[in-house]
Amino acid sequence: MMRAAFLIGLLIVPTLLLWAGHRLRDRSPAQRRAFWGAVTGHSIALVVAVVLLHYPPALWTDDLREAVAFLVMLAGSVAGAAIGVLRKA
Amino acid sequence: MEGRETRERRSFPRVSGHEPLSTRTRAIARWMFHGHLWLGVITTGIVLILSISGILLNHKRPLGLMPDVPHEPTGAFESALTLAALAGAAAEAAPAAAAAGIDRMDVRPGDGIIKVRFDDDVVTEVTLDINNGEVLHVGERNDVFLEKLHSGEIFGDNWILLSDLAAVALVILVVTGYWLWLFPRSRQ
Repeated sequence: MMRAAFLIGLLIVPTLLLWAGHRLRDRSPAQRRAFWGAVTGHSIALVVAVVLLHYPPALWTDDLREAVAFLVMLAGSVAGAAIGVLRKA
Repeated sequence: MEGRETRERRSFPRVSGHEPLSTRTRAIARWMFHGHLWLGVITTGIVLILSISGILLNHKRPLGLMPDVPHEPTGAFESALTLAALAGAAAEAAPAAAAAGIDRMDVRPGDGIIKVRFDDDVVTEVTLDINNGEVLHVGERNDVFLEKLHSGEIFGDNWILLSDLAAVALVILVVTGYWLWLFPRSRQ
């Protein structure tokens, strides 16, 4: 489950964002805010995930670090999109 | 109509050749551009992980990620202790790690040492003199974790395919990148 979330955050989310980025000017303001929120959230989450995956350089033992590293990219993009939608222009 | 032209301009490299491009050439150009764009964005995360773990592995000794024990042989290789005796000495030096079992034993006759690596979470390694069993160093092999992360093996057996995917993507990115750079110039 966690690994599926990691794969989705690593590969599927950028694919969806790239797809959503086409014809962005034709989208509603709320959709545009959601897009930029998701891009920002995913970018920040990617950095967090990369740091957590590498440091400390010891094998994972199913702890909090692994959980956060695996989920943060998916959660970050969803949270970013939600913040973008909710944020008033 | 205007929208289509705008899209063309954005997704197609500009060329200043005298002859109009053939349909096939335009299709190739479009594939190269979109292949570079999509593959570049989609594989960003994997390539980032591969690159950082690769750099860390390349510099594992200066970064202290693996023990480096300089040592001269204290006797002939023929008079070395048995593997069982050396494994026992290593287990005494790191009893907590030894409980997880031995992963491998790496003999270096030229240096007169043996590295006993245990199968614990932090991958503890004990370096011993092969002739007298003296414990020279006890430390963690953090590069093992990085190797597994680099290959994708850390996520599971089939996850090495993710590493393969990133490698293939990089090759395609290089080819499409060169094409996008050179093709417009070849038309000038």
